[in-house]
Amino acid sequence: MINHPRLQRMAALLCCLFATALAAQLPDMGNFRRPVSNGPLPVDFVTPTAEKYKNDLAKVDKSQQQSIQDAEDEFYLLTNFQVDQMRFSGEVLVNDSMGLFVNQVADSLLAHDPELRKKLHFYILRTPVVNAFATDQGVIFVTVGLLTRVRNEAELAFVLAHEIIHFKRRHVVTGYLETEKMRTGTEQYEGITLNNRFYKKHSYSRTQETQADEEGFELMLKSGYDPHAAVKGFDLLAQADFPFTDTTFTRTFFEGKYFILPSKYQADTIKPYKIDEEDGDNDLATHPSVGKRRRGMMRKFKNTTDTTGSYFLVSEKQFHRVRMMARFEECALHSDEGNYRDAVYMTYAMLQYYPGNAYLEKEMTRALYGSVLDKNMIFNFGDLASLLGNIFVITGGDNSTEKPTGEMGRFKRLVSKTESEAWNVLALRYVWQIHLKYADDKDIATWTTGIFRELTFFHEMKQDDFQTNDSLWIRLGEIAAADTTLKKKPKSDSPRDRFQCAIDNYKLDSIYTDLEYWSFAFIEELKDPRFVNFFKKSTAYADSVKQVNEILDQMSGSEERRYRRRRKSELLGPQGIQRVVLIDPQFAVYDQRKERVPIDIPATLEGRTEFVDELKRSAALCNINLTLLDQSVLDTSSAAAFNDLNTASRWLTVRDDVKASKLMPYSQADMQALAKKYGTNYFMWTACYVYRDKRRLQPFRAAGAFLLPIAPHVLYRLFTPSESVTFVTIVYDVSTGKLVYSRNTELTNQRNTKTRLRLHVYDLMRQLSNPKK
Amino acid sequence: MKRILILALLLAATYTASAQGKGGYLGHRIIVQAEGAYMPFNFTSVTPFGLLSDNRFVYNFQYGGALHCIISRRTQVGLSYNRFSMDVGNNYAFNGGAETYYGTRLEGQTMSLVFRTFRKNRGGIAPIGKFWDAELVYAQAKYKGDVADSLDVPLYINGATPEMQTALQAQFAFGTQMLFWNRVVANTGLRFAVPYVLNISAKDDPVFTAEHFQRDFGMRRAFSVFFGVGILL
Repeated sequence: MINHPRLQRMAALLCCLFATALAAQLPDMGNFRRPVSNGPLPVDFVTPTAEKYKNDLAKVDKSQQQSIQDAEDEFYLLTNFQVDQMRFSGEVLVNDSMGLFVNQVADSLLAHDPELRKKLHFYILRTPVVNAFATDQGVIFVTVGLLTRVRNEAELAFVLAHEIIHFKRRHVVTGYLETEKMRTGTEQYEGITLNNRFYKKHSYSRTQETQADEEGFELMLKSGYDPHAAVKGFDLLAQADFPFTDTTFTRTFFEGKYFILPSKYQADTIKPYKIDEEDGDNDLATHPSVGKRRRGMMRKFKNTTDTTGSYFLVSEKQFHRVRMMARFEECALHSDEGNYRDAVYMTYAMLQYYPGNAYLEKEMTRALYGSVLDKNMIFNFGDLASLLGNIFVITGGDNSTEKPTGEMGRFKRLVSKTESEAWNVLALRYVWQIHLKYADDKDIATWTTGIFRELTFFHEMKQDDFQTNDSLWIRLGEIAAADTTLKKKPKSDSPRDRFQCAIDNYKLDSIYTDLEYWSFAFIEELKDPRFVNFFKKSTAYADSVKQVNEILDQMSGSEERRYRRRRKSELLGPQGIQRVVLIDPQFAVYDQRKERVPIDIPATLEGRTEFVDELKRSAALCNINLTLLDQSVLDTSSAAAFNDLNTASRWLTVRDDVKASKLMPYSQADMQALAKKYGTNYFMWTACYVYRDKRRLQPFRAAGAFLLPIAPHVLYRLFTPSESVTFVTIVYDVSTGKLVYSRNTELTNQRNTKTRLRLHVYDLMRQLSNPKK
Repeated sequence: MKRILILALLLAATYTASAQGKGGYLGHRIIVQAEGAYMPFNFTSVTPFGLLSDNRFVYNFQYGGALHCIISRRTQVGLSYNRFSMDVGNNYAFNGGAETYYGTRLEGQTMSLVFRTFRKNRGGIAPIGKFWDAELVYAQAKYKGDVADSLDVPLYINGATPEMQTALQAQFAFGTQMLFWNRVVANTGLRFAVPYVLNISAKDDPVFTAEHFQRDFGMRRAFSVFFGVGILL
């Protein structure tokens, strides 16, 4: 690893530039809402996968070896399938503000080549990961994470140009075929060892990347964008693992007049983010190192006579707005993915530029609630990492003695060191203020109730645990001020500094029984009857849950088993549902016998159609009004249905990921609107997965061959693959976020047949429709 | 039997199931099936000359039909009628001389009540999937001597025993049931019967007792492989 002091300085400078640029050009984000798809759906969204695959087959070069032709055929099948999976995953946006802007940049970039432009489609992928990638079908995905980091249109244009060259030169398909040649040891890979084949293949891949860089640069030159951006654009890659901003977090953001965190919880100094631009290539890397790519670009740049151009061709104002939209969206994406600490930090950073922004404040509320739930888990990953860090002295652990890296590291250190009770109190202080500000917002009210409940139930705190006046608070400060033995004296004579000194030096519960620094958090809030009322309700909730738990503890073994069985049957038994919305049902046939692609795509596509037909048929038989939301119901004019599909898909995904948690997905209001639109609160997702593998010969089974009547069965099993089927269904009541029906049936060593599929689908619908017991 | 099958096929072609309040393959359904079983082991028989083991290929089988009804999500009950024929012949060795085989058979019929449960933990739902069943069998059996038995055949075959034996036996089976083309049901599995039989009509006979019949009938049926093909109505 080679250190580049110059590059480190550059990184620090860039961070400053981020902040400066952010402050200088702040678009109005007062009415920001999370982006949705608009307008007519592109044709590639409504064309069935099989049809696209059929069209692509014409591209297969018949002069190639048969095995390579087969591989190319397989490639088209696979990529069409995967890209369609991605299109309807709920993560892709169509004709949204960010996507339209990216398309405008692409228009500028390819103004001289309208034919090529027609073949390309640019979409936004909702993920904080910094990336862009092209497919052989001309679809180029640009992530939200990338948009948050680009500094001008020209940098974005260079990334797009790079991907456009990948498409133009058909790098995706040739790379796939190269892998096939390497695997089979044909053509240039003939007669060389497997290791050397790997090196050679990856070298080929790096050559493609270099070609995309160089030709992308030339494309930029033609378009009129400033080619300097091509060199500077590599900062995006070098900083891809860092947050898009390095805003200093000050703990006073969460503190109040009486609620103060101990100073030692926040590290005084931090290590700056360090960019490692390795010079050499890793032999097994698919891309050349960032340093090498940057130098290659600089060489191209030196050989260029005309290096003039513009950083902005479409609109500088629009660019800044789009980038800010992406940053706002990224705050929510972190919470969607359960990375609440990242979400709190990012939202905090944005709030520094947009204080009082309704979207950000709501997002902060959600992230804080999530982080409270996260902290209150017995073993949460962050704290477990800290614990392990302390035990094994792993450098970089949140609680390690090393300096944290970056401002986000400083913030995470604070969260990690703060006791879960204190974090709960801190979150409640902030959330309560937001609840008062947006009293009509049901989501915020729900999250506020949730945080209250965590406090009263998980931490068993009562109203009496909190001080209602500041006399003790002042007294503690006086004790600290009068203590001559303390090394660190109060900074000033103000009561706040004195109290800070007290909590920095003493364990308060050693002075007064059961007294902690967060006991003073609600001195002002407890004067508000609304707060007191919330507290009382939460305490009543906690008491009722405890009573239920006590009854459960006193139950005998058989009573408890009966109770658990009843609870289980509530999720598996009849539901009395008459109307349900079915979201994107999935069907897949995995075939482990296939070495390259362990999925049988034709069987998957065919099976999916049958699965959907059976779902419709059984729903009709069981008198269930089933509304299907999936690819098959979309046409070019159904952007609304596509949005509904995306909203519901994301809601179900997020809710299912965090079903153990009490946190509702952000799009709750949108889901309520969908429930109203479709006339039901029940939204369902179901899937059927088939797994095929080589049959393992079991001696017991082989012995069965000697039993004459079962010999044909044994012989049949010897020569057929083993097959297992899994049916999964979840139904949520979106008004409450409660899982009302859950079913996971695993049929080991049982073949998937039409009748079996029909049986299980009918049984599912029957269970949903039968009246509740 | 031929008429029954034709009738069943006609019914299957015209009958359309309507959705029922219970689960199963599109609701409550009836299955008419032909079934058979093979009993691969010949256990030691009791003869007037003592206990002799016999390890040759045996030809023990039964065949018949059944009427099953899917009564709930995981339960199928049925009535079954079968005829059986089992080898109860033995090798006899007289005074150390050459072995002689007599092809005596035990023949008869059974009527049974079957209670079949599809296994929840294996994802079974009537009528498809893995199941276990319990069966209560009422059987009538009769020994049928070989022509060659005329001289040396044991006394109990020549009228010293009741002509018809009757018995009750409990059976348990594990199997799998499949459905093809929406109509054709097929099942197969392994069946275990309790060797003990309640011999209702055994007479007080010095040679032949209920124990002999229990060995000849009960133990041969202790293990069998069964299969059936039917039509789902």
